[in-house]
Amino acid sequence: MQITEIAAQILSRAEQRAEVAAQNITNASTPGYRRRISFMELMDAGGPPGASADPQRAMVGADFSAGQLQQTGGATDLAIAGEGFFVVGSDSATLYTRQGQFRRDDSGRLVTAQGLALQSADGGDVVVGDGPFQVTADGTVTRDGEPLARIALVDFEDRHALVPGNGGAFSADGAEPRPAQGVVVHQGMLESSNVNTGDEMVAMMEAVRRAETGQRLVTTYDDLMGRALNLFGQQ
Amino acid sequence: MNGVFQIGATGLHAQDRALNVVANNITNMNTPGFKRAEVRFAELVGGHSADGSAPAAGDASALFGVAAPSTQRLFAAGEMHPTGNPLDLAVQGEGFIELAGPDGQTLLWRGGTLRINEDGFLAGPGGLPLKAMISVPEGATNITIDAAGEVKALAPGATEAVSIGHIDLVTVRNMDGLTDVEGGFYRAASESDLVSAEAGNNAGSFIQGSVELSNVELTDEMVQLMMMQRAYAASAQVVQAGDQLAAIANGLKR
Repeated sequence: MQITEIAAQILSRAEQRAEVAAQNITNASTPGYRRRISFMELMDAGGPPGASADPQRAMVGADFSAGQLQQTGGATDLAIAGEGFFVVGSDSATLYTRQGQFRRDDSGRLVTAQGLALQSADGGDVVVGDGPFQVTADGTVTRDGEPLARIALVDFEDRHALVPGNGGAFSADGAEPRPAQGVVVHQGMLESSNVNTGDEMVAMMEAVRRAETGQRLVTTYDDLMGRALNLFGQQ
Repeated sequence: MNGVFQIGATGLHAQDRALNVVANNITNMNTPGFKRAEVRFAELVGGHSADGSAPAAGDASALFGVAAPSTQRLFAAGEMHPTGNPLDLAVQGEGFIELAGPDGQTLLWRGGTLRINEDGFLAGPGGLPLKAMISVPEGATNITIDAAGEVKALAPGATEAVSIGHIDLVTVRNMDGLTDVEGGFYRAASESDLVSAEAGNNAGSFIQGSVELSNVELTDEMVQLMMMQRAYAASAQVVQAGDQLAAIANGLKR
């Protein structure tokens, strides 16, 4: 009986690994997307705190290495060079993201595609109003040289504590953000994803092969059992 | 069925949409006044409501692939191309010309070739008259439009050109709220979104005798096309892998 349990686990883990690889591959062109890493890789990397206590919880984390910066020319496209996050939020939640693809909404705020407003360092939403605006390297929004707002740029001691959410945003889950250091904001640029398609394809192939191994285990065991039953049944 | 199938399918769908947008940009490369569009991708994760409230714990079963939720039109200026045709009118700057749509609403137009419609008014494509309702006297020649939009014409038998009207440029408060209308026009989300010249907008000026070319850069679009083709193929591989996993699971019992 134990062998079938082990085989079932191998199969389901392989499937999960393949799902993570699939998510990464399909989001390779999503700006600011952070590559998901599976449980096994996470544990090798030192793992999130409390991982061994609750392996179910720490199934999938994210890799926060930087992506490439691409020029888009869009005035509301922002990219962070260095280690930090934008703060976006609605009334119910504060989230953190590297995805700087904003648009102006009717109230003149900068919002993500999901409608979350970019937060300023002094609290509250960043309001740019109508008309053109410039964003300087330290995140200050200006118009004709007059500062309008300062974009909040934060970082975390332990990024593994961040929980990935919809649209490339992470929730802090209790971790405290601190002001980011040494980051530069680029207007008119977007950070691409940090997915390496080659690596993900290899991981996908590995997962499929591992599933095959699990299958072999089950069929071999099934064979053995069948033979044993036949043998003893003939007595 | 495992999630790999669905994730791959969302990838195919999103890249397909993006490819359509790029193809549309390329085919409209030579359309005067055309503004290129771009697709915005976003990751899909389950166990989340749209406003980002508490997600499920970082659980692999909550992965749903990618979506291409919005297309954005980019209003960067195109190059000016002098044609010498006095009825060609280009707008330099961020403003639009207002046209009176067939059911009374205002359509926004980036300029192009004017014509005199059957009622004698200056009109844009399709005979839609300018909102300024400028009537051209019969047989008038030598229509001039200056940079500020003052329209003058030489009536038959007159010695001096006389002003027959004024075209104003209007800017839009929220460019992202513009919807596309058949024929290369745009419609604002609401009338209050438009800022008229009296309110002091910085809409730009007119250039008679030129057309604004599209703002499509062929090399950029070709690079996007190739990237998206590859991304589409990668998503197809993902679906194939999902298929293999499913076959393995099915093959457990022989």
